[in-house]
Amino acid sequence: MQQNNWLIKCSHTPESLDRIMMAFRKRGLTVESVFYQKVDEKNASCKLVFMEDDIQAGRIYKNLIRLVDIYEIENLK
Amino acid sequence: MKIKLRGADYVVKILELLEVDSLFAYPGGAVLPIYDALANGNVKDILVRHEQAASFAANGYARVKGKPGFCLATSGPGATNLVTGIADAYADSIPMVAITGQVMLHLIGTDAFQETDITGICLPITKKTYLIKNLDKAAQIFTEAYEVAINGRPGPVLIDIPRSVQGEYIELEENWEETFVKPVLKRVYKATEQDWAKAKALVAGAKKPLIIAGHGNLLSDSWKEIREFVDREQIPAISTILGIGVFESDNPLYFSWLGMHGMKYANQAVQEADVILALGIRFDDRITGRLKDFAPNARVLHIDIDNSEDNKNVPTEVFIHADLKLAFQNFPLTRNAENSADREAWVAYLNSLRAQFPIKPVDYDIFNMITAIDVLEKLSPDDMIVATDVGQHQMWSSQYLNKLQPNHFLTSGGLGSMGFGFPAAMGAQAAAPDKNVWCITGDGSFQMNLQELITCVQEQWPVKILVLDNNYLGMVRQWQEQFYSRNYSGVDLLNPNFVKLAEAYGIESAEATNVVELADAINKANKCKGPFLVHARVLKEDNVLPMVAPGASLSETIYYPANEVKDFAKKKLNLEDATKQLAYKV
Repeated sequence: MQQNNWLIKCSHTPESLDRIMMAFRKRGLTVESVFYQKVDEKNASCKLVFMEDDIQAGRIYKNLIRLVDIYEIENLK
Repeated sequence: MKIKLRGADYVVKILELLEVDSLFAYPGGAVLPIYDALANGNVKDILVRHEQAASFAANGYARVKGKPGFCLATSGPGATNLVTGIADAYADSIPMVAITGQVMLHLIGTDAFQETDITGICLPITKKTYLIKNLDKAAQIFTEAYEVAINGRPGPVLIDIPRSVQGEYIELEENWEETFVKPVLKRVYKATEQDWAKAKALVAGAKKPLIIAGHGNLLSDSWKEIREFVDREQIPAISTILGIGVFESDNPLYFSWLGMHGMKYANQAVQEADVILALGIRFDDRITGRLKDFAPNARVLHIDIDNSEDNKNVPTEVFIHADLKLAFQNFPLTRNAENSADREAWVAYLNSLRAQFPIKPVDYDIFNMITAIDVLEKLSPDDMIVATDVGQHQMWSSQYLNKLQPNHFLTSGGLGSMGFGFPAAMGAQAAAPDKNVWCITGDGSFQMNLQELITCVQEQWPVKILVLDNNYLGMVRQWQEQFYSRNYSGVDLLNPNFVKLAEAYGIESAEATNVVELADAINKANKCKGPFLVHARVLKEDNVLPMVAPGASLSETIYYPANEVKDFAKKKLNLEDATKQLAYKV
């Protein structure tokens, strides 16, 4: 287990946050913290901290990048 | 000059501008304004008898037509009944637009009558969902939804429209339709010269390269390109089940399909290959078997439209993020003087494997599902479209149908939804009215959506149905036999008289208990201008082989029992005789 600290750039829609959380919820996982913020009318950012190993984090990453509304995921060390 | 349009009329007009010609739908309170508008519009609404059939039919339509299928349901139970079909489309990457009515905007969240959070329910099974709160956004939402459905990895989207929004009025420019832009396919191409250089080095250096071709080749309409590529490179190829039709089955470089019930020689090819070219596949667990032992000697080149597939299940050495159609245009020549002999030897070896582990010959002395499927294909046109349900008949259809053209084999691969076949066949018939469309189904699967018989009558769709009836849920029974000591539980099916049932729906039908009766029935069906049901009473207990047991490796593919294999040569003779006999009789 390690702390993962991600900054997700996404579109600002009613479902964006739900879709981000879906990758955790469907695995029965929780996150340490989420900070979702509107950037402008169309865009948002989401800071996400969660504890998982590299393999699990990699799988979550794959699920997230498949989403239409996710533009970029930056791993904040 | 401004005009005023009611929301429902506006939505139907948008559907017309998106060139929706078939809307598989079922009415209800929350879509009454849309139905009112449909009565005056040019979109043909097809009244199914259960919303699940609407979403499966939209799926079948999309696969055959090569454009998104549209379905419509009311709020609450209507919307939730669409869910399995939407999930099926998501699993198999089928472009679809599902439209649902919703309770009035001000009632959302009050637990109103027939209110469900359908956008929430569909989050994990759609590419995107939309709730139209404001008519001003309707055209933008529909065009974006359509664009999302067709672009990138295709898939379903859902648009939820509150009834109050359908009844509101919008003021528009008189010429608004002229400014409406229907979205077009934008093919993804993110490969670099470096990617291709790596790919070329990998493939050119291989002694035993193997192509695995998946559904992506059909979805991207690149089956011509892959056939040319295989011919140019002289690299042997296999496919996934959803990739059936990519290659002609008599292509000498095509070695059928792999996986749980794939050919033993195809599975063996994977295990011995030193480079795998994975083209438009997602390495589903049904094709990999035990993942850690999948293709132990192979380095992998993976080309896919979805970059989330890169290294998802199988370690990939080179990943090319591109639509296959564009990828084939750019794939450098890898065949050269040094590797040509290796490829030739590899193909010769695979041919020896194919000769050693052939698929079981059809035995006309036994009236089983295999015989029935074989007879159906022999007596039907080359361009027939087949939709299957899920179970043993699905696997045998995949194994024994040999002349399927691209996008003419519709099966629920990812989700494995029983009940898919018949409505998918309806969708296919709507998309291709002049084609011979057959639904091959089991007695279990068919009873999940048989209410649609009357839809075929009402729509005058000449869909043909072959019910392979063994009075069992055959695949579950097989697993109980193999893995639960024959402790049969919940698999014995008491069935209705399907022939009389068809008659009750006004559909011509025939029963078959042997090959000759079946041939007569299929000939009658193919000549019949309307729908036709053939009820084939087949061998009760029979197992689909080859098989990779759950948790086993492809190297452990179970072949037929030795005593059966010994008789293969004899059966081949019988097959020729029987075929002649059959041809004479029909």
